[in-house]
Formats: sequence, C-alpha cells, structure tokens
Amino acid sequence: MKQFRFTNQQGQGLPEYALLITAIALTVIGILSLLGVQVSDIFCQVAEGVGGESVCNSLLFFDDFSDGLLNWRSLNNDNKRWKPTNDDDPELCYRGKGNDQLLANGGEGSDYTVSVDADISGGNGYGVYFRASENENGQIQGYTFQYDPGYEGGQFIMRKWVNGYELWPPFAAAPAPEGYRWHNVERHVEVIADGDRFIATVDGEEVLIGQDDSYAEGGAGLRVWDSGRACFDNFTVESH
Amino acid sequence: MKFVDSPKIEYQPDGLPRARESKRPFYFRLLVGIVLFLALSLNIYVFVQADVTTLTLKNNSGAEGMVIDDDSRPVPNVLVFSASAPTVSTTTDENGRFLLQNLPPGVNRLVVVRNNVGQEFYVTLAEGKTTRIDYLNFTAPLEDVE
Repeated sequence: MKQFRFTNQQGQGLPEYALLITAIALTVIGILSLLGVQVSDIFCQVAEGVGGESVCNSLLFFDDFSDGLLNWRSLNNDNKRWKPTNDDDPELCYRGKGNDQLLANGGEGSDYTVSVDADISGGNGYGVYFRASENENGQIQGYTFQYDPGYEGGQFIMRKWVNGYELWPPFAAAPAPEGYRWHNVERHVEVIADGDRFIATVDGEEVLIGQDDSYAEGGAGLRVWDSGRACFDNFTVESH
Repeated sequence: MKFVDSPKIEYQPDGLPRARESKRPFYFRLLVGIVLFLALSLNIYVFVQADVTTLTLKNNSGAEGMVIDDDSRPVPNVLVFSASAPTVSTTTDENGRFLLQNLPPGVNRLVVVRNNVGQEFYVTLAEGKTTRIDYLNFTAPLEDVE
C-alpha cells in the first residue's frame, strides 16, 4: 500500500517560496503604484467591505488656529490680512482689502473631506480650496468651493484654477434657497472629494455637486476676495 | 549499450524511490534568489523614476487659431497657454490669432486668460504637426463676477 510521507519532499525550498512571493508582491505593488492606485486604499476598501464604513478614515490636517498661521502659507506672501483672534476659542479672520489665498501646510491627498466652520460678516464670499497645489511658479492649481453671495444674486459654486487663474464659468453652480441668510451666521461647510465627483454641504445639507477630472490630488486652503470679512475655525482634512 | 549498463530503478526498503539530493546547496539558491530580487527591485525603481508617461509623450505638437468674442470679433492681447504644458504660452495678436508650439500630442486643455479670468477649451492635437483650430469662443466677462 502506498504511503504518503511529508518529510524529505523535494522541490522548491521555503526560502525560495518566500522570495517568489515577495517578488510577486513587490511587482504587484509597483504596477499598482504606476497606475496610481494606493495599496492602502485597496486594503481599506476590502476592510470596509468586511467591517463596515469609515474603517480607514484618517485625519490629514486639523487646525483650530490656536497657533495662528503656523500651519499655513499665503500665496500672496502677505499674511497681514489674516489675523487669528486671541480669545479662548481662537479663529482665523480675514480683514483687509483685495484678495488672498492660504494653503494648509499638510493635508495633501486625493479622496478626502475638507470641513470648516466659517462666518462671513461682509464682502462677496469665501472659498475652500481642495485638491490644490502650487505649480513651479508658486501659482495655485486645483478647485474651490465658494460660498458666494456675490455671484449672480447668491450661489454656491465650484471653480477650477489653472496656473493661478480662476476659470470661468464655474463648473458647478446652484442658487441658494429664497431668503437664504448669507452673512453673520456661522456655517459648517464640508467639501467631499471622491474621484472626479465633488459634493459640498452647508450645515449638513447638500448644496452642490460638481464633477471634473483635471486634478487628482492636492491640499486644501482658504480664500477671501473683494475685501471680504470672514472668520474660520476648526479647519479639518480627513481622508476617506 | 549493454543491458547491464542501462538505467535501473533502485527500490528502497520502504518501496519508494531514493530521495533526490539537490545538487545545489541552499546558500547558492538563496544567493540566486537575492540577485533576482535585487534585479527586479532595480527594474521597478528605474521604471518609476523614469516617469515613462512623459517619455512617451513628446512635445512635438502645436496649435494655431483665433480667439473671438460673443460677437465673433477677434480678441487681441489675451494670454493663451496649455494646461498640459503650462510653460508654453503666448499672447494673441491684433487679429486675435495665436500660435503655440512644443505641446504634447493628444487632448490639451487650452486656457485663454483676460484680466486674471480664464476660460478652458479642450482641443485634440495631432502628433508631430501644428493643428489648426478654427475659433476659440471666449465668453468670459471683462471683469470677474464672484
């Protein structure tokens, strides 16, 4: 009768199998990286599929402005218009003429949610940058969601930026409800970037959906224009 | 060959053929494996660093055309560049005409800018030659509305 024995079997040794598997794994990771796929994203998708949502959400950036502008940079190299308040619950306020843009030092990513508490007391609005970056000349590229009482009677819009120029027309726009109170109300604004689809919410209500595939990744920031007066707090970038 | 010299099967007491002994020692096989692994890693590293997407796209295309406004009048003295090759830019002449060269072939995002407000046009450029674009209808307002 034939006997099965598990000792003294010949063929590939364990180290060779280990090397082979390592080589295959590295090759797959290399190919996925070339295709722009994060292995961690795949892991997260699988993990979320098994264990529910938000398994791999992680905080990319947070600032309550208690450290002033330490974590920010102005694209106009002029931080004087942005003034952190000095009370117990500090905010970052824009007071001044003209326009300015701030980018967070950190928080770069692809699919994430940018959220901020904001209150505008004057001017034509403010914008939240997402998937934004500076080109080699220091000019901004990316997208903004704009809380924009000055645009055609008051609208929520999304704009694209190329080499420091904002493009016209906005690639998404929606009017606010009748009688919407734009000024002197603190709003919780969220912008969700997911692939080429962007969703903006204000106080938990979805106000705008946009779609564009020009920029796949980048950081987050703020802008104010036309001598606007606005204050910001709890600026957060969280990946998903 | 004589029958006595022909290959024979030698049976062992347990009835199984004699175990083959590897001719290569373990450390030799490990060394070969490490060399293969290093070669593969080096290949992947060089492939990533080479940024093959830019190597395969030669900037040997061009675009020429005219920028007009809503009334079909030429728009002079506005900036035109491709978002695909932002270092290449030009300004329209008095007839609204422009010529951009050293652009990548395929789909380009041409941006026309006046008073810091841009408008984007998707155009497809043929490889190795200058593609003639009839008109870019520039409708952005003279001053930005926000």
